[in-house]
Amino acid sequence: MAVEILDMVGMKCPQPVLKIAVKATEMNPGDILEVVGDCPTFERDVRVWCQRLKKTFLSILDEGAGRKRIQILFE
Amino acid sequence: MSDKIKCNDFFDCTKEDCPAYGSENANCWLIDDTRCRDAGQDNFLAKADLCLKCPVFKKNMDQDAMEASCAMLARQFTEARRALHERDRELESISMEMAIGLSEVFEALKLIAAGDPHVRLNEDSSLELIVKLKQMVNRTAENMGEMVDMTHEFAMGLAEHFDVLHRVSTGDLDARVQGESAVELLESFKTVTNRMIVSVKEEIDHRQQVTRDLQVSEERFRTFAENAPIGITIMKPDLTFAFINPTFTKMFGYTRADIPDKPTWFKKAYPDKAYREKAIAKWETYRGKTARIGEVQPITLEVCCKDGLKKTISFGTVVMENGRHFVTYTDITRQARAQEVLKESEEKYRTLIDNIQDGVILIEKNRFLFVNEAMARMTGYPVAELIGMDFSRVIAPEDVQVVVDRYRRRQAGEDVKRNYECRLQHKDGQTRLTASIHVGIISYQNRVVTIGTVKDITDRKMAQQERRKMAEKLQRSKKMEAIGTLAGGVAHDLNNILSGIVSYPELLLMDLPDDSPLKGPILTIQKSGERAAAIVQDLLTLARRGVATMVTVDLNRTVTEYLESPEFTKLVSFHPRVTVESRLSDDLLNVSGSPVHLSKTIMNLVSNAAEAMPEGGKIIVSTENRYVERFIKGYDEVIEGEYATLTVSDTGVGISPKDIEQIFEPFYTKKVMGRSGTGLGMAVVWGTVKDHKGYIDLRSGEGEGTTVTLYFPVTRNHLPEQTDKSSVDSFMGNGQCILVVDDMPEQREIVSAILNRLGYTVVTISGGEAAVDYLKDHTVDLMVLDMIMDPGIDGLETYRRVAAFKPGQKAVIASGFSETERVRSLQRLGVNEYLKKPYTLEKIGLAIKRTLAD
Repeated sequence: MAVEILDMVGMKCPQPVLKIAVKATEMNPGDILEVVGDCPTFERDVRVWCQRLKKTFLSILDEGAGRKRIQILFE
Repeated sequence: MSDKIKCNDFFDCTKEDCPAYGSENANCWLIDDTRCRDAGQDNFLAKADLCLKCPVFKKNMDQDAMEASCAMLARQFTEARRALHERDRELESISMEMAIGLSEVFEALKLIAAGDPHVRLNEDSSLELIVKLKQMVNRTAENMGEMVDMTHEFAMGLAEHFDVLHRVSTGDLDARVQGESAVELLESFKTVTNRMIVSVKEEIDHRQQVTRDLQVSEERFRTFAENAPIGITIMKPDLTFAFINPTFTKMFGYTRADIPDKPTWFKKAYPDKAYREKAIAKWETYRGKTARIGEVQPITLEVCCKDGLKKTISFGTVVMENGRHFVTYTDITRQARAQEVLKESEEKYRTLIDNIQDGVILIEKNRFLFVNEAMARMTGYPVAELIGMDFSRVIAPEDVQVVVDRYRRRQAGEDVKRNYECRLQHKDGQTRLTASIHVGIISYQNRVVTIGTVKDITDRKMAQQERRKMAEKLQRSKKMEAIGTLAGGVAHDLNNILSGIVSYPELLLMDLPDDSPLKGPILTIQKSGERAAAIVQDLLTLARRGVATMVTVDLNRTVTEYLESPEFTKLVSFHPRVTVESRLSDDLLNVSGSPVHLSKTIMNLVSNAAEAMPEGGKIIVSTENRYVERFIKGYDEVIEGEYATLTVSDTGVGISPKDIEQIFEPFYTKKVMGRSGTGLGMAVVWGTVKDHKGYIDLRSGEGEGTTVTLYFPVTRNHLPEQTDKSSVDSFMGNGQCILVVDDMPEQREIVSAILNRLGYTVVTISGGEAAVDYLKDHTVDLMVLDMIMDPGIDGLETYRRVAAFKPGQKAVIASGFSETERVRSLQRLGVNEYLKKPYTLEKIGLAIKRTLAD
């Protein structure tokens, strides 16, 4: 099990989602991908992505100034 | 007031709605809302400037007017100042509203620029501009929101597709794009992707199945290849060996390490360079044939094994789809050697069968299954024609029934005679062969066939018959000689005794008176003595053999004299129902002999013929010239030559074969005792003919009459009285050159003598080929051409060859035979004169005369 961090601060949608999609190919079952972004639709996009691709939206931390840190669990 | 003017008059203004138009004081500029010159009416300063420059104003100016104008200006200025103040306040309010509104719009645009499409502004404002700006911001945010949503939708779809394709790429062929989208393109994309995955999955499934099948197949092949009794190799397109099975190694001793590739294999397998080049050439030749995938073209080569042993190998090559060569190696050394032995054996057998003198046959279902060369030679049919032919076609018709019946019964299982003789018929339909057949039934290639050997025993049979006949003749001749000697001895003594019996009665009768009673008995004694003397004379004829006096005799005259003699008259009186006819050849050649004996011979034959016809009949006495060109087999064997023949035939009872054997023996008679015959008649005939170096042919059958033909060699000596000078003159020649072509020296001499006598110049040549050669360098007026010349080309072929370079060459054809097709062929070529042998001076003279005259 590994935790991978993907910093996408400054990226506008839909770049974060596409980044996550590419990164997802490297993830193994049990791995956690932690993504950070400040795009206004970042949270919503990640949630939809997790829902569509059957990934677990594990947690979200609002770090202020629009920055949000989200953990995604790969099963 | 009267000097004041109205502005409408002055300017010819027709604007009736202008307040100045109907004013009486004419102070137009003082009146609000005048329409003067239209421009500047709303602008206080401009209007004042207009009025101050107006000619009418200047015209009408006076104090009152000035006051009134100033008052008007003061009022209007006041109003203008108030209005300006109000406008300042208004502008202040607008500025504030503008600043607030723009601030809101700026903030909103800032958020939008940050990527937030959810910004919305309150669109209320006193300033339309601000309202419009806010509306535009909101519309922009909304549009941007839609675009973001769409982008997100695409991104999500793309992400899902990416994820699914990634899973597929890692082998998860159950992965499918699940998400639904309102975007038609994404839905289609999903359908295509999922379909592609399904197709890929099916393809992979299929390939996996194929792979599994291939694995099974390969496993089977491996099992087969490793356990196959034949060598197997698989060679890659780069000519290296991909596989060599254990049998290959066992067969040749070579491992894959020994022969990594084809060139190495060739060097080791065919160490002899010449043979290797031959092998390579053979492979090259066959490569074209094996180029097509799946085709097998076996070739056979001798391979050198690792231990130096050589083996004969049958190669089978198949080109596989991947370009590899699948080659099989079958060791056929033993078969090849066996085949070689078999071939040698077959050659021996074939040589033996084809060179033995006896025919060898196999018959199945009445047809020849096999025949050898000897059988073909025997029957005249080529081997190919005999194979399949009904065997009965080569059996002589007279024996077909017996042979076919035996064959049928043998086939039916009956115990039929296996060795027998039968006659065969040659292809020419004429020649008969006698064959000794030995047949049996055998199993041949699992079929029941008749095998047989056929030995041509024609010559042996003929030789046997010949020997038998010769023995019989020898015996007969010895017997005749012995009896002749005995008879001669007896006759000599009896002649002395009889001289008294014949002579004394004549003396006694001269001394006796005519009425003496002894005269009658003495006459009887005399006649008996004379009859006894005649018998003795016959005995002496037999005894005197070979010493007869030879003179030139005309048989016709001898016959005629006999037929006119008292003896013949007496004979006829004894046989009144017998008629005698003579058929004498006009140009009969003379013979050399004893007229007395010949006459006696004729008498004896005619007498015997008459005796043979107790019920009457006809006797024909005939003479003719005969040229015997080929040996005649009869009672005697008549050799080649010219003969004058005397034939006596009757229609009598005939003679049995047994009697024929003894008919010429002395004292053998079938006649009634005491009536006639001494038993010496035919013996005298036989002796006379032999004394004249002649031959007897006797043909008879019981009830069919008898024909006796005597052959006497001719002579060309003439009787003095027979020469007819005047007739010879009519066909005399005049020195013309005649070429005589005949294989018989005697004939050439005879013709030469006759033609010289007739005044011709004669050249003689013994054969056709020599004659053709002679005529290439010489010219002759006429050829006398013998038809049958053996050996060598015959008269027809000779004339054909001569006519090829001497067309129209005159010729006379001569033959001892009757006219044949070949003679007729010659006649078609223009040789019209046909001269039958034996020659007479007159016949040959006339024929030449006629031909030369043409």
